[in-house]
Amino acid sequence: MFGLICGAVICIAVSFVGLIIKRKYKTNADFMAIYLDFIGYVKTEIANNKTPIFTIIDNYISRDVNVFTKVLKVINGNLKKDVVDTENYPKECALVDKKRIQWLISDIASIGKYDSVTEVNKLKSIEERVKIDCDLAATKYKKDGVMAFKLSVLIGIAIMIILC
Amino acid sequence: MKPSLKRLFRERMCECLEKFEELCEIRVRSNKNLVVYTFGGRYVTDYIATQEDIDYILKIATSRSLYAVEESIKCGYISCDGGIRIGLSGEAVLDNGKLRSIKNINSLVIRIAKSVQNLPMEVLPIINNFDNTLILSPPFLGKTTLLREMTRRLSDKGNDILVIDERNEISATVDGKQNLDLGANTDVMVGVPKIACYEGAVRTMAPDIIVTDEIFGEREVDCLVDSVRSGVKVMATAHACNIDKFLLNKSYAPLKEIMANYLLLGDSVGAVKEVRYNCSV
Repeated sequence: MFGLICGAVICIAVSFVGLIIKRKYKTNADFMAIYLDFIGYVKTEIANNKTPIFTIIDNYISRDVNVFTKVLKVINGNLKKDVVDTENYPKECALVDKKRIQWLISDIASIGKYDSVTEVNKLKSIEERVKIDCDLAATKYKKDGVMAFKLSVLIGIAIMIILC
Repeated sequence: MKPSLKRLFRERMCECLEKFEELCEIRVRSNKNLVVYTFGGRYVTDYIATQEDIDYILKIATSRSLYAVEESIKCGYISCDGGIRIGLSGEAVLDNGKLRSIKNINSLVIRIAKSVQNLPMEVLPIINNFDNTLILSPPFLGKTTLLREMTRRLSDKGNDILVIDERNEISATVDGKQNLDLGANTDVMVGVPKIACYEGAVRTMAPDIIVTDEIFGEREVDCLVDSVRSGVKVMATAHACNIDKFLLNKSYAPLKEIMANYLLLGDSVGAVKEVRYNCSV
């Protein structure tokens, strides 16, 4: 009986670890998908309306609340104060790779120094890079993330059986 | 220094500029001494401006969005809140021979618009009984400031005024908001080439008075004359040191037909050196 309970607890714990790993991959995949959408939005706004960057970001943030817009809100606030901060972000963003947040900061900070045609061309290059990483993150989620969860459940069940 | 100006500068440049009162113009050139103009005169400071200083000013002035103001950059200036106008120079970016933008901006002229509360005594008869007026002055003696205050007074007296503000110097409009008070009955056309504006403006806006700054060339003079013939009064400025010499110029001679009053500024900022009333032929 004791073995069954221990096994169950360990099974749940191991499955939970697998769930967190899967969630990390999902968060990054979603983050990159929204990042790609955001870059497309910025490109359109600059090309068609020459909207100032702070207004573009404020408008994008107001569309939805998700991990990406939470990070964007912090970046926007820092930029308005002319501060570059890669550390202080909401806890929901902890699962996002720091490197991706740094890219986002760097991409946004690079906007606004040139005329609209040059900016749009630059954004096209950024978009290509982000698309590659977005596809990579999506693939990693489907393969590694889902696999990690399934594996953790299997390991948990195996441990439970052994302990029983 | 007012906040709208202070925010443009990094800390060290701010400290240098805080020593001066009544700033009128600041010239920032990359790797050169900062030059400041006040009502008291011209001062060369010890502060050596860097390209980073210039980039910082542009970043703040454009809210990190240079592309958003590229139309005015093509005309060589950016307007900011608080009546601040930044003239810029650098390298032209051409597209099929047409100017698309200016890049590698390495010098700035920051002009701070001033308002005057008290008009010179010589101007009051013109305000009380307005007729076509030309303000002449060498550069940097306050003709635009005077034009602005006269516009405000005339507007508040009930005249419908149209200001043709090609380079956004008179109204300092930013995002559709005028930073300088031009009166309760004033309409402003910003950024439109003057020649294109005159004819349409008279028909569509039906002003009592058209106001414009720095008239230049025969075509513009012809437009002013045509406006007056259609029943609108005009008030304009031009660069000159002498009224008669100015009117001797073939391009400006037709103004003699229409201008009733001439004001020549000189000796010091805002001071009227010569005035002529009721002159039109």
